[in-house]
Amino acid sequence: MKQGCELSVTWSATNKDCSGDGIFQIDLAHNPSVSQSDAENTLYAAAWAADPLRENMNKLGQMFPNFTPTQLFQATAASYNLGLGGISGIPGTIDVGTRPTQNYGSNVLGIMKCFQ
Amino acid sequence: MIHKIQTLPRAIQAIVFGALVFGCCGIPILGDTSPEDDVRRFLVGYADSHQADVADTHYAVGFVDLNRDGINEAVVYLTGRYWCGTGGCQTLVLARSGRTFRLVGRILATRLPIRALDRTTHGWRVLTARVRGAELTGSRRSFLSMVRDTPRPRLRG
Repeated sequence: MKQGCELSVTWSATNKDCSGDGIFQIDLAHNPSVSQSDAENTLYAAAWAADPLRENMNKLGQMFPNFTPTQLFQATAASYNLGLGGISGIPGTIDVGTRPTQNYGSNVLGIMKCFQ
Repeated sequence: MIHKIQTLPRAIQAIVFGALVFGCCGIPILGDTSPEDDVRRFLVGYADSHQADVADTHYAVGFVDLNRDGINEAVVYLTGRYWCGTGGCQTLVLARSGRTFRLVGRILATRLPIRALDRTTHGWRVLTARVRGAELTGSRRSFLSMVRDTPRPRLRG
């Protein structure tokens, strides 16, 4: 991990206040093929989450072709929290409405920098 | 109860939607339908305009007079992949507009239950919904106040 980056994880895999299980917050009720232990397995969960993220990124790229690559990344991350229908396409308001602190996409971008 | 918006092929949906909105053979139909039917028609058009997968769009609806004008607004909780993320799902507030509904408010990333309070803001009853509250600790949950929120009767989940 890069030194000096700001990594602030405000919730944990066992925080049941989140809507789903594990660090990727997989909703087990709507994804019966995923077990709780799967959801709490970071590698499994990351691979599982990659599919919807990839689909969302493709769709958002089509919906908002003027997004810069960074904005597209931010919107993709935000769509994981809001659903695609919550993304307005306005770069300055990509994160508006995201829970819990209205900065979901930019927060994910910040965390990504720690691993680059 | 969660409703499924439509499972008909899109072309047929469009024909049915058009016929219901504009009437067939000069005979208006909408006025004879229930608010539930009118909400459903609105949602088919709304989902379609968002290029959302209509077949994967479900909803729960409650009716309540939010602005105290004697006419019930509809509070709609949309579910489905397009409308939901880990933060929750979209809630729409629809007001009567002639024979149909119009969108007057949209709240992102909400969770049931949604309630309408007696308290008002700018003439509209305040709605509350459950949201993720990272500002809170442990398993506590917050209730987010939203202008134009939902009916006293809970939206059914």
